[in-house]
Amino acid sequence: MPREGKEVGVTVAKAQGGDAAEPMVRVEKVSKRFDSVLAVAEVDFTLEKGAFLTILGPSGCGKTTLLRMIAGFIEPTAGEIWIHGRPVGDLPPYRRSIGMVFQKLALFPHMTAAQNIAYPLRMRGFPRDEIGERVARYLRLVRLEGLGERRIHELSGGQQQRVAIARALVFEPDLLLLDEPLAALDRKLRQEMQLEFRRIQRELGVTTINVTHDQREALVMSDRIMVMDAGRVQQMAVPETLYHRPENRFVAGFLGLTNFLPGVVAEVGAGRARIRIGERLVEGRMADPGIAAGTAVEAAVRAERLRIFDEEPGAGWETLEAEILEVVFEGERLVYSARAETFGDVVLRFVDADPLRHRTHRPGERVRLGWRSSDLMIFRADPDTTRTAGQPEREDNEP
Amino acid sequence: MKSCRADIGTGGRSDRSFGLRLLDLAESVRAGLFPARFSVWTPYLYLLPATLITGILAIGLAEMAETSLHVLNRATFRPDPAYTLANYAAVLSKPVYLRIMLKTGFAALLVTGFTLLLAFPYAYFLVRTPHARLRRFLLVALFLPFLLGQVIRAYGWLIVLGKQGLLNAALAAIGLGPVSLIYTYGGVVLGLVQYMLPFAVLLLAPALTAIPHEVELASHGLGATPWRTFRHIVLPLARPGLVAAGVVVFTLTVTDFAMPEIMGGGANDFIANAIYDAFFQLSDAGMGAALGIVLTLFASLIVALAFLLVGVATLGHGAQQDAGAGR
Ligand SMILES: Nc1ncnc2c1ncn2[C@@H]1O[C@H](COP(=O)(O)OP(=O)(O)OP(=O)(O)O)[C@@H](O)[C@H]1O
Ligand SMILES: [Mg+2]
Repeated sequence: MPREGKEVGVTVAKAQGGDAAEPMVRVEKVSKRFDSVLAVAEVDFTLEKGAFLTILGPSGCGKTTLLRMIAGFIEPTAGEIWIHGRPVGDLPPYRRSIGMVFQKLALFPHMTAAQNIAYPLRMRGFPRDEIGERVARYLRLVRLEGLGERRIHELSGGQQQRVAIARALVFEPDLLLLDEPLAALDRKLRQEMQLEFRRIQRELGVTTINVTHDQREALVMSDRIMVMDAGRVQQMAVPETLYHRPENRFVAGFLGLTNFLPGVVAEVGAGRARIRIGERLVEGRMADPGIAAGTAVEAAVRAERLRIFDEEPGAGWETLEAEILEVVFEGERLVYSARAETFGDVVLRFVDADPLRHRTHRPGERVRLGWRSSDLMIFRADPDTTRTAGQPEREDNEP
Repeated sequence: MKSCRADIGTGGRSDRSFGLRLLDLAESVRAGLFPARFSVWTPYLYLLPATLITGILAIGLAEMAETSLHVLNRATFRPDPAYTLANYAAVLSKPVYLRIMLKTGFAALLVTGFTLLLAFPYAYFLVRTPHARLRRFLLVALFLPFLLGQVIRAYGWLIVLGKQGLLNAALAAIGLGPVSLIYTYGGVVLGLVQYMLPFAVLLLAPALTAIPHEVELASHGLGATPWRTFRHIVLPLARPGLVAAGVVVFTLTVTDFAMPEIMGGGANDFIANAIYDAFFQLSDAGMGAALGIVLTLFASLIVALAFLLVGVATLGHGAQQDAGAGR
């Protein structure tokens, strides 16, 4: 087996060009066109060593394509990718020092778990005893001690995930790429594996790019999140910023349960604006810069920022009357829908996060809803409002 | 049902009731054929037609075994009523028959080897090409000679490879001597390889489709050269298809009649040709039957050996593979 390794002559980018100041990954104006489809459009970002980045976006937005370009399976139409300070444009995947876990794992079904993990080492010509030692070490790391001799189909879904990640890491790549490996798992196992992947990633300190369309997974696992839509980066930020300070309507709608209220700007102040929604004039925070008076906008308020008040709250709050339409019991919380006549009959959703402490309101009941004016985010209206307007996204995308 | 019967007498709406009765009839037939609740035995019932057809074959085989135990009485040209193993002794001792059997077996090995060698890349390309139009072309090209039938195809070979054929005309044009491929062992093998190619490709294609492209990408990304990806990943995963294709091609070759008959020109007979001669030229039904039984045993032995060697389990391997890859 070592003899076979020499034929390949694999050398890895790791040793050369390593520069502490240099980010681990630099993607510069990378685009990919498939015939008529622009799958990835001028994506630009950098990632520091050891960071965990999640690329989040709806199906077909170009996540897999971008990841495969970084891995070297697809050649960009334009732009340049740097890994560890080296342009990798003409390096094949195995010279980029990259470990990848595929959307469907792509384990080798005719081999045992241990043989799967040993495969990259054999292909790279590692000496036999080092292969044995490393395979054992990585089986331990992913908590599969004693299961190395099992065939792939003799392992559970979660165990297969562990084999896949061990196989991607065993040759100690600079960069780990995950293409929705958890998407096929049921919710509970998926949450368990999210934490497990994060633990392994922290333990090894390996720079990681994860792809998902599950916003909860992105929030739980990442140091940074990049939201993509239609091949373009919408926003890249740490999870808290992304959630609380979305920069555009798409990001606001993609994360969390968000109400969108169509309106028109009446008056503009410093970072704030007064907008007309239905019969009402309300104040909010300008999330999109440079909106002039008279512009059609959409105000967004998260479902969990709306509250029911029995009495008028103090300054800094806005309130309105609404009629409860529907109550949905979700276990740890209730999700209400209510119609607000003074807001042009818009339907608002809001949550009661502590239903045991509060009286449950019935459909037909009238309630007073309130929110802080700083919780109202004002976005330029999306010309393509059919996507999420009035239909807030579900908080997590369950299969 | 009931309301329907009541309608029968009322003539006026007979069209409608006739239609309804027809539907009821169809429904009861359906219910009889496909009962809503399967009893334990129902699944076996579905095996019955196939078992019956195979059973008839078995009866024929038994008849043949009986025939093979009588030698031809040369005086009367009728089978001798006495039971004897003389025909088998002749088959196993006469050099003519031994040579024919060896030639047949060796040809089958050659044909199986060459066919798989040619069919594998064809099937792989067919399955992996991203261009739908190319895939359609490859499929049509595969089926076209398939549709012609073996005899017409063999005559096609004669036209191309014959003494005055296209090949020799081309060779003569560049000043090379006539080669005789026709009526040779090599010609028979060539014709058979061409004949078997579609079978092999069609049996290999599903096995290759079952190998996810991502698995090959993964192997490449983990540092394997294309050759090693082929050897360590594609080939082992394609084994069920290779075994199936190999067994089919081998048995079809070993029992073939037309190709050696036409392309072999009488000098390159296979066992089937010897059987034919025994029955219809020598009128020695006993000898023909004995040869037939030997051929059947030989072919069965090869199939059994193939499955023993690689394990019948490989045929079920696809299912496990899906379970593994589908997670
Ligand atoms: N090989 C290809 N040829 C043509 N179009 C392609 C190809 N691969 C991807 N596309 C197109 O590019 C776009 C982005 O695809 P991609 O697979 O990157 O999406 P994704 O974000 O990974 O989606 P998902 O979440 O469903 O996996 C899609 O519109 C897709 O149809
Ligand atoms: Mg994808």
